[in-house]
Amino acid sequence: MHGRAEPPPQQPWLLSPEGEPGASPAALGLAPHGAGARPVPDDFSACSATLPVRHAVAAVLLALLVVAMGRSGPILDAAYGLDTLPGTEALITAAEAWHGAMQTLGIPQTLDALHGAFGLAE
Amino acid sequence: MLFPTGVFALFFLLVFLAHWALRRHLLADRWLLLGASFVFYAHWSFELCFLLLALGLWAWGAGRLVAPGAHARPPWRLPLAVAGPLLVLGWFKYADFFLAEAGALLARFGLEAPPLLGIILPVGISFFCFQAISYILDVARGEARAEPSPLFVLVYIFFFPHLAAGPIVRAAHFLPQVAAPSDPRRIPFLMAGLLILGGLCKKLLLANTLATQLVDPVFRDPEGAAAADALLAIYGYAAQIWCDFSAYSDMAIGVAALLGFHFPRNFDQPYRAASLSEFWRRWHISLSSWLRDYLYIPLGGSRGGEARTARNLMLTMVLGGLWHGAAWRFVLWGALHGAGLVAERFLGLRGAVAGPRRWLGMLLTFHLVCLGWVLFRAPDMEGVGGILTALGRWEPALVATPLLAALTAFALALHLLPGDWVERLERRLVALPAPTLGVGFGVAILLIVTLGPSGVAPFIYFQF
Repeated sequence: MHGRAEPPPQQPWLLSPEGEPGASPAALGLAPHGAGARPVPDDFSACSATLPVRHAVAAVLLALLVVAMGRSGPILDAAYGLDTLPGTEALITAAEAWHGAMQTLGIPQTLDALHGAFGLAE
Repeated sequence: MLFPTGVFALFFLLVFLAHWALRRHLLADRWLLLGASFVFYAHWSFELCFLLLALGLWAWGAGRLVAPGAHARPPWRLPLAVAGPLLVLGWFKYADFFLAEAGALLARFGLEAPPLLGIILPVGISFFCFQAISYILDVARGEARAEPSPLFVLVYIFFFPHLAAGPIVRAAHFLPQVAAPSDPRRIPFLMAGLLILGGLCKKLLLANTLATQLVDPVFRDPEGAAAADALLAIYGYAAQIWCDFSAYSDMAIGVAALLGFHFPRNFDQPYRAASLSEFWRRWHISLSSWLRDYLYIPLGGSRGGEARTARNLMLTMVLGGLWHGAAWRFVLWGALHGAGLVAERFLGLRGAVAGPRRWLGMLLTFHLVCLGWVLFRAPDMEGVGGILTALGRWEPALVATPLLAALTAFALALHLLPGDWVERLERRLVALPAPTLGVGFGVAILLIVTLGPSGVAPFIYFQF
């Protein structure tokens, strides 16, 4: 991960000086008024870890690839539900091939077994 | 288009890739984000996209009208400017409510009631109307600049992560982000991912399960519920609405962060509050601060004596209740909170900082909030009475199970974690390389989807 050693470590909006547009919620007056009121914390700070865009893109693609591997059944169902348009046939063929490959790897079966054993009831 | 669906995943992937590919072309990128936001909304209703467009253009034009300038601003301009979004909100959300009430009144005198208009409530209307008002008022106050082109204003109001259910992001906070390109070197991927994962957990595992197996059955038929069912359903709804709404906010914040935009936090462990005033600093923070800054303070706030302060508090909370829905039970819900805030103020009960008194305050506040949730969740006042009556029905439980009790307790116990537990988790994962994080997030999402009930119920706050 990047972000600890490279100054400045954040998106500019995380480093804006207090009171200027783009500053933290507390600086913008979104913090509670009154004595003793604690400021509203933010999810992000100068300590938040960051990635450059190419690493973030790779990570997002990998995450969605893994999801697509496990969700090959619903993807196939969605393909079957598509309106008949040019290209629909090719999409269905691709979805069938993808689901077949995942079944060969045993991924949908494993997830079905997990759902059966530990899934929260409908 | 709901966040936890395959359609949204595909939509987001395309927007994410195109957005960062266009990072050197600010205007093209903002057009892309605007187009994507309309596609996102058109998934519910294509026709209502024109309403969004008209409202956004009104806000932009109104901003030009009310901007502080060299010439004196006529006093009618600001009310006229704000009237646009208020009229849109009033027409779509309250016209049928007031017609129904007028009809009931006329019927008492033997007169014919006017027919209802059957207006369909656009998803997220309360949110984007409030954002439009925020732009107009921030410009009028000189806190945001009047944009010369409508593009940035439209992106601010209709940016798809917050379009359907907030958070309500201030113009002064967000417009500068729209006007400047996001830095591709610094994407807070890890925190964004953790927020999205946490949101998925809360929505798919907790909120959906509690809704379908506990809350909906009991509130649908309170006459058939025993005391244990009703009590667990009330606690369950407290857990469900927090899991549901904070999940949406967290996912919206995470999705926006992946695109290089910042939304402020919207929930801060609200059931830790030891007083109602603290609760409103932790629950739906973007709405409570909006009401404070654009309604309570302009009404006079705490200036002008105790009676005026009480009036302003009550008015703010009742209108806040009405914002949630056009029904008397929402008005009563707002009045309950307003009365509680007034009582706290005048009795000096602001919530202890620590110790047993704080725990007592937390317990009392939580149960007062739960009483309010009964008004919020029940379909009508008869349903409210039904649930409260069921609390005295000592019979064997029909719906409540140990699993549902455990899920409710787990959701509520999350409030006892340290306030910065997500940041602590982030620090533990920070050394992992990006591909490992990506695969890890993918596996975690799969597990959540696999273990949760099938299908995704709409988010509660979409109806507001």
